[in-house]
Amino acid sequence: MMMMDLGFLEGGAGMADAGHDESGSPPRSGGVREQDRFLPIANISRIMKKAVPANGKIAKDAKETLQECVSEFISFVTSEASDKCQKEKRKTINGEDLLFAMGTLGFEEYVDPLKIYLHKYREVIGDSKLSSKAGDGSVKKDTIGPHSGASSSSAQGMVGAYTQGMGYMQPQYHNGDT
Amino acid sequence: MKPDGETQLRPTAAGHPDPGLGTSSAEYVASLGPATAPVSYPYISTYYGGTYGAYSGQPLVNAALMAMPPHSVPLVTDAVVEPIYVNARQYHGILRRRQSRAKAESENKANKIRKPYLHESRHLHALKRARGSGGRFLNSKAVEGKQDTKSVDKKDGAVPSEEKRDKKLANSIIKLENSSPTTQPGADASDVV
Repeated sequence: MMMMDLGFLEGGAGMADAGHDESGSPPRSGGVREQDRFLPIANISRIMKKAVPANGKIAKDAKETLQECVSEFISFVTSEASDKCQKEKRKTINGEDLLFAMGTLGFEEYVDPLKIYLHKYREVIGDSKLSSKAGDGSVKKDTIGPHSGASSSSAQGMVGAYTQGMGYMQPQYHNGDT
Repeated sequence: MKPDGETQLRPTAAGHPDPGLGTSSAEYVASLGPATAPVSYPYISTYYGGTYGAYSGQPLVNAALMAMPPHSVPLVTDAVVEPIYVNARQYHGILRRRQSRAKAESENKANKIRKPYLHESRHLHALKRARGSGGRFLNSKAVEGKQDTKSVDKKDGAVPSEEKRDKKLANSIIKLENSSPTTQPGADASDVV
């Protein structure tokens, strides 16, 4: 497996490695679906294409690997933020909680630019759209099964994390989800 | 003083993953140990730099990605003989995520297999779409041409055998005409995941 230079990706590599140990294919069951565990792979491919020359190509397993990595990163940061919210008896994860979590996990470099982004994002998005965003968050409730006690609030944080990280991809995300 | 926030995942020696069930460590619920191999740092730097610049406009300091963290602690796993060092600040988060993934896996092991498509109806629709040379979907103009052919066929209910042969020839000519605009960019089947 690849050796990642970011600690949190080590878990992602473990997930991929565990897949190889599986033998046979048991029948499909309900529960967490693939589209709830991962971001849409088409949107991830579009982001990856921006870093590749126009005539370059990206293998499918490369896209799938990064899909798992970015989805794991979102769960990693959100899990840290959720821990802090539970300690403080709060039910809703907001943008500041995610920024604090990234700082705690060693991603201080990202905190300042994301603070600027979050500030400008809130300027553009009014309160009415924010409430509609909360409605969209409930759709992704299953994504955060381990936090069943605060699933809706965690979903809110998940949406916030996605919007902060890839705000310019927001319309296309809905297209991919259609 | 610039804070050294970047992290490093580094094995102390070449590990031998043991897929068998070993004795679980106190800090670990399920075995998810990975094997480690060197990765191309410049590519990761390029990727993160691109994403970073998209919303901040500031260039990412690539050297920071490879800087050693001041404190690292061993993360013992069942499958790996040697410990893997991770950023101490991420230690508890990694353990927490491992437990969450183990729980999710115990509930749904079938989800390990990736489905070729999500919706059956959309998959069938894609199978029915007209394709040109190279397997790409035909663009809307070419599809309209085909529809015109179908409508012409519908108008003539009962066609004598001789006229059927003529229509087949006409269809083949139309197909040849339709295949020529495949040089234009059309919908790519590989994009439909």
